[in-house]
Order: sequence, then C-alpha cells, then structure tokens
Amino acid sequence: MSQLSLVFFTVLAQSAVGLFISLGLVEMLARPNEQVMTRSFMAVFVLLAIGAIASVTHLSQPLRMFNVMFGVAHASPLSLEIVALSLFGGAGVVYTAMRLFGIAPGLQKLVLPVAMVLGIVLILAIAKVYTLATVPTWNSNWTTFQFLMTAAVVGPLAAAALLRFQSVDLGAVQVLADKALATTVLMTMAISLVGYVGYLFWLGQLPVAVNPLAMLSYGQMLAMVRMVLLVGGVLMFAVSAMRGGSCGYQAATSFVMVLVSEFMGRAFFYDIYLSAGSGM
Amino acid sequence: MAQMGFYVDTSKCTGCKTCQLSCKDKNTLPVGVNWRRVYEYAGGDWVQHEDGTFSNDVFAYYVSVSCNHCAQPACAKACPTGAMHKREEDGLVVVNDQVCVGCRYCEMACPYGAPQFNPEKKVMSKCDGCYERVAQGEQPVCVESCPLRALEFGPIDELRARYGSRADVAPLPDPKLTDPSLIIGTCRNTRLTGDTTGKIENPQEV
Repeated sequence: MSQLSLVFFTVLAQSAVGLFISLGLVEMLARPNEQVMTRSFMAVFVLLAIGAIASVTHLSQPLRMFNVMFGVAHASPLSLEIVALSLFGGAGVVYTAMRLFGIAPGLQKLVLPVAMVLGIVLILAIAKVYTLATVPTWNSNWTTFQFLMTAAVVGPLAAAALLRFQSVDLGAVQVLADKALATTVLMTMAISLVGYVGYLFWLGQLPVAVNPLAMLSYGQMLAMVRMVLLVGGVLMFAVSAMRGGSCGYQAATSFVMVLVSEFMGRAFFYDIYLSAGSGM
Repeated sequence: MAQMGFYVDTSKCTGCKTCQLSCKDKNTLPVGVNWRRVYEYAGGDWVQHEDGTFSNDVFAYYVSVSCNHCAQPACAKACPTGAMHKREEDGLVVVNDQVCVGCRYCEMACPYGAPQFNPEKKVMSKCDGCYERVAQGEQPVCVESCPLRALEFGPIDELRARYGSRADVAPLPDPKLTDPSLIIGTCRNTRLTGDTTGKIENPQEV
C-alpha cells in the first residue's frame, strides 16, 4: 500500500474515462432524455476531480504543482499525462457545458467523440508513465491492458447506476441501455479476468532476481478477493439487468464492489514495483 | 563536455562504509538518506564432491555506489519538472531543489537507487559529484575519504582508458539501460549482472 494517492488517482481517472465513454455510447446509440444525460455526464467530473485531488496529494510540494508542465519540453511521460488529463477534462467539460446551456447541438455531436478519444489517449498516457525499461515488473503491455480494463469494467457499471437512479425520466430507453451496459460489462469482465490471469503468469516467469509473486505476503489473498469482488459485482448487476430490474442502489453497490476490486488490483500493481537493479 | 564519472575497485573495497558516512556528514543527510551506499553482495552453498566430502563456495564482495551520472539518465528523462538535470559542463546529474515538486518519479525510474527523497526538505536529493569541491581542484569527499583508495573520480574517458568499461557487475542492473558513467574494477569473487547465486546481504543499510 505504498502509493495510495496514485492508486486513487489512476483508478478514478480511468473510471471517469470509462464512464464518459459509456455515457457517450448510450447518448449516440439510444438518444435518451437530454437532462438525464447532462446530469450523468456531470458525474464524470466528480470522479475526475477526486482523482485530480488524489494526484496532488502525491506531491510533496503541492504548491509547485504547475512545475510539472516544464517537463513537456523533454517529453516527460508524467508531464504528458497531465497534458492528456487536461485535454480530456477540458473537452469533457466543454461538451457537458454545451449540453447544459444548449450551445450548438450540431457541434456537440463532434465534440463528444473527440472527448471520448481523448479519454483513451489519457489512459494510454497514464500507462506510458509506468512502462519504464528500468522497472521490469511494469515494463509490458500488461500495464496498458490493466489500465484500459479498469475503464472498461467500472465505466459501464457507473453509467448503469446513474441511469437507473433516473429511470423514471428515461422510459423505455432505460431497459435497453441497462441491458446493453450489462452485456458490455459481462464481456469486458471476461476479458479483464483472462488478462489478469495472463498477467500473473507473466509476472511469475519474469527473469528477475526476486520472484515478484513472492514479494508480497498478502498477494494471493488480494488477488482472490479482487476477483471475487469483480465477478460478484458484475454478476449482481448483470443478472438484475437481464431480468429487467431497475434498482439504482443495486447497480451502485455493483459499481462500488468493482471499483474496490480495481483499487485492490492497482495497489498490487504498485506494490509489485521491482527495479532492474535487483531491488537496489 | 567532459563527462565525469566514478571508478570503484571491488578488489580493494572492504565494506568499511567510510565513503557513505563522509558523504552523509558533508551533506548533512537525514537518517535513511544515503547518497552513497555500500552493497554487500554474497552467496554460495555447500558443494558435494565425488568422494562424498563437502566444501563450500561462499563468496562476498562490496560495491560502493552513488549516482552514476548516466549518459542516458532515467531519472532526468522521467522528471516532470526538469529539476533533475544533467549539467552541461561536466555531465553531472543534479537536482534543482527550488523546482522539484517531490513526486518521486525519478526515484521509481532510476535502477541504481540514486535519487532519494529528503523528508526534511520535501524534495528529491542525490549525489552531485561534489561539483563545488571539484571546481576548487579537490576530489569528491567519498573518494578522498576512502582509506583503501578503492574509489576514483574523473573524466570517464580517461578512467575507461585506464580501467576498461565494465559496469555489468551484480547487483547492479544492466548498464545498457542508462549508460552509467561508472567503471567497476572486478575481484576474484565478482559475479556479473543477472547473477542469481548471490543476494544483497545488507538490504536494511542500503
């Protein structure tokens, strides 16, 4: 649990991207009630703001936080991550404000997909920060995969919870969106689980001085609890969605279970840090 | 630009840690912050011979490591502020503590454990090659204090011409990662980078 600030920042930022993209897809494919969607899009920035605050608490000199822009000159991955965060946050806020104030509906159709793509760019930029050649336990595409999957499993559940709480205003679209989100999250959960097992196998056979899986006394228990929370959370929502349920609290519980599962997975990721210098 | 660097002769080093302490003293480093560290790398086992007798092949040696002022410093590349930078005039990697935000990303990236967080100043700190002493014609304090004369400091090209360019010695990482300005003089027990027969025996100290 060495990097809790970063655990919260990365998971919440990625979850915000997942939520934004999920809502974006619902908006583009189902065209639901405008006010419901505007309120839902606002929730993205609550997640993102909590994540941003967590990232600032990671700095020992928070008052100097704008210094991180100097690194853009030499393409420091951390600086580029902040740029990507600003671009996604900026585009997302602009889109949501345009919805809120009814500005240029035609242009909104362009800003939405641009912001969704910038969300993916943000996740790739966060992954780039940790794919360091000098840290063999992080230096692989598994890092990118895990970060993308956080967005892919948390996003649809967060969107489902938000829409269920506003189901009265959504009408027939609610059941459709609920089932579509449930199908999506079932698929992404399957990919995430298979990938997680692959990642653990990859970690176990790394040619490094210390076996990464033997580094943490709680590693096996954490992996198990993480998987139980992920599967349990997703199934609880999916079963209810397939039966036509619309309980917001149930979806919110699923969202929290999966979010906690991602926090646990990310804490494991940070604790598995191993330098190329045999733990120097 | 003359790139400056260190030569560490493991055949002379006895692990007395005078270099580590003199550096700590000169730079008034708090507990837990050691710009120079002396790694004790050891291993070995009992070996059974054909006649049924046993003997051991135990080995141990010391590697004194500070910042290696790499040609491709992973810390400076990672630093989001530019506080961690390479000096034009001598290639020494130093921190501008007025700019550093204390994100500790350089610490994550460096495979030698060189950048270290100073909890009193709340910024990163590291070996600066004693550039102020060097400018006055003196040697870095670690080099001058070594009672075994196991350390040398100077233009890395000159040191390489004299001692070769070996830096792939366990427990150090593969030098290809950052191209360190470091040469390791080997001893009879030397194991190369990637060795799994030994381990760092003093992890709490370093």
